[in-house]
Amino acid sequence: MRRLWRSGEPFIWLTGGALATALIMVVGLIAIIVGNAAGFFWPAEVVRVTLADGKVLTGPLAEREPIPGKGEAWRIKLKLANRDLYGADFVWVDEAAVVRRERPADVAVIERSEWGLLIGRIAALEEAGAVVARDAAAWPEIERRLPAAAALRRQIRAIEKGDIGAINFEQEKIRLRLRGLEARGATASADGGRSGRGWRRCRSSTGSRRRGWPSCAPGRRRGWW
Amino acid sequence: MAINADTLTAGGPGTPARPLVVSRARTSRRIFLDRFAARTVVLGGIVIISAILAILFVIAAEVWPLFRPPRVLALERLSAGATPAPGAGLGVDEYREAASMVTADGTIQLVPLKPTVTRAAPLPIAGLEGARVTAVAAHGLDRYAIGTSDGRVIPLEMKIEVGFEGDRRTVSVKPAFAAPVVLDPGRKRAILRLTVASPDSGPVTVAQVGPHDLIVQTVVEKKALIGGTRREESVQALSVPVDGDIVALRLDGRGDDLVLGTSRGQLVRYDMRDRGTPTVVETATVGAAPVTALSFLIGERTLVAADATGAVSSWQVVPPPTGGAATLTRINDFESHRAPVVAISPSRRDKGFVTADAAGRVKLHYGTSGQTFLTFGDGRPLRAVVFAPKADGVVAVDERGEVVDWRVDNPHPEITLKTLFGKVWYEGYSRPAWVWQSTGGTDDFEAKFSLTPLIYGTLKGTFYALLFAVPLALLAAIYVSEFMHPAVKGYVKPAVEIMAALPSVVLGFLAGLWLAPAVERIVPGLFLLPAVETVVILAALLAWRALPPGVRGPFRQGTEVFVLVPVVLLGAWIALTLGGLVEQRLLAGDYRGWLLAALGLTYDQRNSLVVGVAMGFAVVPLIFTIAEDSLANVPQHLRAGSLALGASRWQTAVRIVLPTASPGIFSAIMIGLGRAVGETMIVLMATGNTPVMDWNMFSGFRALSANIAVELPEAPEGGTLFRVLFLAAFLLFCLTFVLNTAAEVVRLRLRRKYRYL
Repeated sequence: MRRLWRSGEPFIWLTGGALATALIMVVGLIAIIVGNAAGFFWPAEVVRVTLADGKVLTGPLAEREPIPGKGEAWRIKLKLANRDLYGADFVWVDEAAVVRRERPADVAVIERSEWGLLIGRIAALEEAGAVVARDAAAWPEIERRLPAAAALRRQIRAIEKGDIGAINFEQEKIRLRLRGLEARGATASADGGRSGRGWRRCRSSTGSRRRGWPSCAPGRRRGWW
Repeated sequence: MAINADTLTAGGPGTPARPLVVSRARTSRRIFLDRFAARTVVLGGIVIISAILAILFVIAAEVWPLFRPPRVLALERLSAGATPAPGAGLGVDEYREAASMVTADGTIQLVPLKPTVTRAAPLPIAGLEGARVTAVAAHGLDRYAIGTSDGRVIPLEMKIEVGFEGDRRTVSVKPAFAAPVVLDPGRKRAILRLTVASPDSGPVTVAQVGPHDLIVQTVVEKKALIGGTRREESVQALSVPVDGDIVALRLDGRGDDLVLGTSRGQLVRYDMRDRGTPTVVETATVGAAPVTALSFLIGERTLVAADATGAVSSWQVVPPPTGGAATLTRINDFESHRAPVVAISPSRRDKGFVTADAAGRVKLHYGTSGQTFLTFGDGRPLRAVVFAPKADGVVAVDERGEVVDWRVDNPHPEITLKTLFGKVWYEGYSRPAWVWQSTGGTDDFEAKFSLTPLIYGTLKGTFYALLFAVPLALLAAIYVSEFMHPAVKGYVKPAVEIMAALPSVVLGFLAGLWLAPAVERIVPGLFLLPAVETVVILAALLAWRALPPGVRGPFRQGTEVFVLVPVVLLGAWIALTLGGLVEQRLLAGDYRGWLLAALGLTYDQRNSLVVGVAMGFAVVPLIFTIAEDSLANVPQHLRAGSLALGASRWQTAVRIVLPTASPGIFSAIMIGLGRAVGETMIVLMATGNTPVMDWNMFSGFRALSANIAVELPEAPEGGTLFRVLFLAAFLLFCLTFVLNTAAEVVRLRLRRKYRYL
C-alpha cells in the first residue's frame, strides 16, 4: 500500500479522473443539447387522463417532476394545446389525482397555421358544407385531401409574396420618388398640374387627383385598395 | 566546393561538381518574394496595432467629455432698472433669451438676454392695491406666489412666450394673476418670507409674519365621485418656539416637510403630512451663523442650507443606519463662500445647484457628489440667482439691478471619479454606498453610476470560473501529456478542445435554463463531489490492481482514463445520493434554509456557482490546450534522464516536467483569466445581472461586459450612460491588456530562467 502511494500511481489516477471529468463534461453537454433538441422531431404520445373529480384531459405528456417539498409525490405536465378554446397550453396534474390513464387511438393532433396545435377527436369531415365522412372514416379522407390543401396554401402565399409584393414594391418606389422630389423643393403647381408631370397633378387639387394617374395616389397612408 | 567521385579518385583538389547555375531572373524573383513577404508581414502588424489603437482612441474620445472640466463664460451684463423683490422672483426661459423678474417696486419685468429680444415696459402686478412686494416664492415650473406688505398672497403664473409678429420673433412675458388670498386678515402684517408647495392633494402656503409667527394655509382638494372636486381651505397661525428668529423657510414639493432656518444656525423640521396639525419633529444644527437660504433640489428630497458665513451643506431626511425614525442628516459640505449666501437655485435637470453670495460670487455645486465645480462672478454683491432650465446657464441680479448672464458648459455633472468608484450617499440611503442603477421609473429618478460593483462582479465571476477550471484543466493536461498512451492522445485532446468550439451564447443559454435549475437541486451533492470522486478513484485503483492480469490485459498503461469514465460517473452518482442524504439528515431537508440560518447566505437560482461551472466550459479547453502543449514541449531527454535515474513517472512529471513547463502553464492560466474577464454571454444569461457586492457563491452579480451588453442598446447616444458604458469598455480593455502583458512578462522571465535546459 505504501509502495503504491510512493509510486505516485494514485496521483496519476487522480489526474486521469480530471481528464475523465472533462471528457464527461464535453460528451454530457453535447448529449444534453442533442437530447433536448431531438425531442422536437419525435412528438410525444398523446395520453388521456381521467382525474378523481371526473375531469378528462387529453394531450402529449410534456414533463414529470417531483412536487417540491412533498417527498415522493409526482406531478405531470400535459400539453393540452387548443389555446383558442382553453386559453392555457399546459396544465400540471398531480399524479395522485389521476384515476385512469390511457393511450387513446382516436385522437388527432393537428398542427395549424395559427393558434398552435389542435388536439381532439375527429367527428366529421366537411367539404363545402357537405359531410364527406364521419368518425374513423374521416381520417383517410383527410389524408387524401391534405396535399391539395397544401397546394392551395402555397398558391395563396405565392400571390401574397409575389404578385402583391411586386405591387407594393412599385408603390414604394413611387413614394420614394415623390419624397425625393419634395426634398428637392418641387411643389404642386397652381394650374392643376397640367404643365407638370403626373405626380404634380395628383397633389394640386382633389379634382385633378380624380382624373390623375392611378400611381399618383399618395403613399401608403391612404392605401388605395 | 563539393566533393564528387572524380575528385575523390583523382585525389586532386575539389572542384565544384556542378557550377552553381542560378539564373538572374530567379534570384531577383526570390529577392522580390522575400521582400514582398517581409513587408506584408510588417504591414499586417502595423495594421493590427493601429486598429487596436484606433479602437482605444474611439473609446477614449467617447469617454473624454465625462471628465472635461466645466466651463463658464460671462455673456452679458445689462441693467434691469429695478432690483428684485426678496425671495425667488427671478426666472429665465428655456433658451436663455430673456429673464423675468418680480421687482421690489411691484412690477414684472422682462430683461432681454439676447439682442433679438426687445425690451418691453414693466407690467404692474394686479391686485397689489398700493401694498409693497415683500416676499416671492416659486413653485412648480412657472408658478410664483407674491407676498405683500399687508398680509396677502397673490398667486401668479408667469410664462415667457415666444411668438411671431409676421416674420419677426417676439419674446414676451405673460403673467396671469389669480385673486389675492388674505392670509393675515386680522392684523394685516407684512409677509416677511413665503414658501409654497403644490402637490396633487392641494397647495400649501406658509408665510412668516413675525420673528416667530407663521401662517399656514392649506387647501385640500378631494375628488368626489360625482360633482367635481371639493375644496377645503384652512388657515392657521403657528407660533414657533425657537431660540433666535426665523430667518429662512422652505416647504418640500410634496408639502410633507417644512424646514425653518433660525438666526442661531438651527434647522427646525415640521411634519406637515397631517395638514391640520403641523408638528415640530426635530432640530438640527447647521452652524453658528444665521441660516440665510434654504432650497430643495430636484426630487424634493435633498435640502440645501446656506448660512451667513458662506457655508453650504446638503441635508436629507433619512433613517439612520441602525434603523429607527428618519432624521434630518447632513450629507455633504460644499466649498464655502466665505461671505453670506443670499440665494440658492436648483437645477431642473439634475442634482446641481448654484449659490450666490453678498460678495458677488456664484458657485456651481453638485448635490450628490458634494462637489463644487466652479466659482465665478465679478464682485458686485448679488441679490438673486437662477439656474437656467437646461442647466446650461446662470442669471444673477446684483444690488444695483444689473443682470448678469453666464453660459455654463457642464454636460455630465454627475460623473466624477468619486461617483464612479467611491461610495456616494444617494437620496434615501442611510449611508454612502456603491450603487449601479442607471435607469428608474420616474422622471426625478437619479441615475447611479458606480462602476465598483461591476468591476467586483467581473472579478467575482472570474474567480469562481478559475476556481473550477484551473485544477480541472491542469490535471487533465498533465495526464494527457505525461501519462496517456500516445495512441489515444490523438483522439482525446481534440475531444476536450471541442468544448471551446461551442459558442458562448449556447453555454450561457444552457447555464441559465438547464444548469441553474439542475444545480439548485443538487447543491449539497455538488460540494461533496470532489472528495467523493477522490475516494472513489483511489478505491478504483485498488480494485483495479486486485483484478487478475487477464482482465487488465487489453488496457495498456496510459489508457486508465477509459476505466475512469465509468468510475467518475459512479462517483458523481454516489456524491449526489450522499448529498441528498446529507441534506435530509444534517440540513433538515432544506439546504437553503440551512445556508441562511447557519451562514447567513441566500441562494439565488442564477448564481456564481452556475457561472463558474458554465464559464469553466469556456475556459477549460483554453487552459488545457496551452498547458498541454507547453508540457509536451519539454525536451524528452529530461524525462528519459529522470526515469533512468529511478524517479517514478509521477516524480518525473511533478519535479522535472512541471517546473520546466511552468512559463507555458502560467500563460495558459493568464489567457484563461483574460477569457473569463471578457466573457459576456455566459455571465449575461446565467447571473441574474444584479449589481450586488458580496462574495457569496450563491448570489449573482453583474459583470462589466454583461452590463455593456444589457444597457448599451438603451443608452441615448452621447448621454451620460452611453459614455459611462464606454468607460466600462475602456476599463475592460485595460484589464485584459494588463493581464495579458503581465502574463507575457512573467512567461518571458520564466522562460529565460529555464533556458539552460
